[in-house]
Amino acid sequence: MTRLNRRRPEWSTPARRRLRTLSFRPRRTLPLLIAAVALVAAACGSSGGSASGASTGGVVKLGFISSMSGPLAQIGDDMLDGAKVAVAQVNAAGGVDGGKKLQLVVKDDQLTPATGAAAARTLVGSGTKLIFGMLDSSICLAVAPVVQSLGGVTIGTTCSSDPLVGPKRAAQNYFSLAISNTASCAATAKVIAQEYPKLTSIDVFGYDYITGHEIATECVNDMKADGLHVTVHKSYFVPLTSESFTAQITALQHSLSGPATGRALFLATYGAGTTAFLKQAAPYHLTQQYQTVITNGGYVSSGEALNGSAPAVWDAYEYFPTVVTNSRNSAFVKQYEALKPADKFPNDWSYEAYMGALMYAKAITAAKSTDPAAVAAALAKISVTGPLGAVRFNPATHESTIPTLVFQTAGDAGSPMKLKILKYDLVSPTNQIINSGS
Amino acid sequence: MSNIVPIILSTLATGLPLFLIASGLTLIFSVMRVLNFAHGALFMIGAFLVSTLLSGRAVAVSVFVGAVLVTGLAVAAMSVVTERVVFRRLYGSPEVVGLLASFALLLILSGVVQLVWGSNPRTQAQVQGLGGVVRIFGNETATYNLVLIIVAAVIGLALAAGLRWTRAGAMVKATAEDRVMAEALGINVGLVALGVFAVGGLLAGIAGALLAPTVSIDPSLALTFIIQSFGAIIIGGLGSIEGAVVGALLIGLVDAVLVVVAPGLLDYGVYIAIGGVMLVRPYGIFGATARRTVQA
Repeated sequence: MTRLNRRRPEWSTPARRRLRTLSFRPRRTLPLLIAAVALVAAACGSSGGSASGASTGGVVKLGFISSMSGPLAQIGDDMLDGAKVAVAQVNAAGGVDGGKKLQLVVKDDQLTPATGAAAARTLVGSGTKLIFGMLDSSICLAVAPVVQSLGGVTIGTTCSSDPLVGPKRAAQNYFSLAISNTASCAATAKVIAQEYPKLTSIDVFGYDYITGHEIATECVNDMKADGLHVTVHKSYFVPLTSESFTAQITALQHSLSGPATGRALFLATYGAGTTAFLKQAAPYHLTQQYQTVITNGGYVSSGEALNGSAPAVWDAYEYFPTVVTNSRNSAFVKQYEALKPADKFPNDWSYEAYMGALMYAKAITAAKSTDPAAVAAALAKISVTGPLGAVRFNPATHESTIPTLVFQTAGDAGSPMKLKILKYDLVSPTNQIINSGS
Repeated sequence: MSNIVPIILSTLATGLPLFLIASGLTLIFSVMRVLNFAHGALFMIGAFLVSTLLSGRAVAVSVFVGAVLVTGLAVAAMSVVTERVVFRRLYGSPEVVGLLASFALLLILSGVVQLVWGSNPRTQAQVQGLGGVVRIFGNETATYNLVLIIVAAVIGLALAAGLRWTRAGAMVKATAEDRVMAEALGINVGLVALGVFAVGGLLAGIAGALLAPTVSIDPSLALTFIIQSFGAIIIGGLGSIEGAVVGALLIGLVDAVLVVVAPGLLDYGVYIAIGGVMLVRPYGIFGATARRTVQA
């Protein structure tokens, strides 16, 4: 149930499968189809790097798997850049395990579990047994058992599916860096209950799939548990691929009357859905008819895409580059910008991959070995202080203690990100607000 | 009245923009027997092109209209290239071959869009002066939705008139009716095919450009509207322009009604509309006669 598999183009895999299973022999079209396949393959790119031993000479190789091609290639690229910054910092500071340099071996999962599993098999089979990355929970669920069976270790930096963590997790050597939907909802509810104690009514607009429904239900229930006497007034769930919301916006508009106080809009959408909804709602000033608008994860790209016209929206995730001004964050942002000036700022995914590489670096040094069993044992014990504070893995569940950042942004055309922070709260894994600001 | 007007407005606002996309699809199918999945990619390219031409900024109506026309023409040219390079080789082949080729083309064009524009979503700001709402019988509707309704209606009427009353329209209908006979009568069928793809591409490009200010512009846009557009032409009857209008409006109506009476069924609006029509008209509302000819 990662927040990211919501954006998955559902047509791609089944459609390709159908393409394979249809049988026909058109003499004139065969070259065309072959050319098409070749062109698609070329357009999608290919995996980079070649694998070799995890520790050869003065080099320790970390296997990085993510979606480097396909519709989420940009996110895969952002993740890779975060990992590159971590590797550069570690190497500049003297490397790991007595001065060995870290090196990334990059593989493209093409946003497909089977390809991800094949990439993991290739990496581990050729000796690169410390794997991290993965954008989508379905890929983590495919990769983790493969790596486990071949004697490797996996850190999923973005996946948040429940079966991946806990005592009965799918692979014992799997560690999860991302916050779970449960944790992000709990943190969101905590902050919203504190900010808007008189909230009584919530309208929900979300994607019609399991995570959309779960997030909406869980976050509203958490708000009730935090003392808010809220009820869901209207709820609309739309297909993942939909971007035409006139009917829902019109219906919401007609259902509202009176002052905005006490009323909230919860968006259980992300990406294109959130962007299109906010654009189509803008002429009606719909968001201004609510005291607050809340979403849960992955909003920043939508806010940026709105080019400064984004309304005030609360979001919960792990990272926002301008929230804190400590030296660790400054160094991370500065090096990221230097690596990729056109891409502006690191985002959640960059930060997660950055922390994943740092966790491995510290674990290798602590274990004084690249042996997967020793590194896994060390991962369960170490703590790494990153831009937003200390992060460790729970030894029993292998979930991370990464804090949740609950923040409210609004459009700012003058800002490079086209967004400005209005308020933020950093919430600990025990659901305590540990830092606030505006 | 207070309940009916919002439903009518919502129906028109959802349905007529959908018709803009569906009209090109059905036109191409009627003449060339190609169910063109790549139409979705051309629509997406239209949205990307207009946002690039305008740098995503809010512009005056006249500038926007100019950008939409330039975009439409550029996409029409791309559509012509696809006809010459891909589809011309497939005429006479089973329809499934054209379908697969168009799907391959969709994948290729989506890949090219990612290479050119990247995967990051972008937006096109609303046109200056069209960002608010207007009140119709006491009900608010977005001004830009009203503009889309009017533009789609004008394009639909122009298309129907062109097919019915012009020499080119007669040639298109003749080719759709019987390709071999049309050729025997001296009609340049190859030129008709080019023209049909050009007009289809023009409509896709204009639709993409016009909808750009209301959507998130990213590579997933290629399939966002194409499924509903296929639904519209299936409901209306493959190859029928009037059918595309009626099908698109029916989908808009079903959505507008479901959102009020059964929001939980909204996901299935298109399929409910298709299923309902298929039960009584298996070839679509205008399908019985439109199956082998263009209706105008």
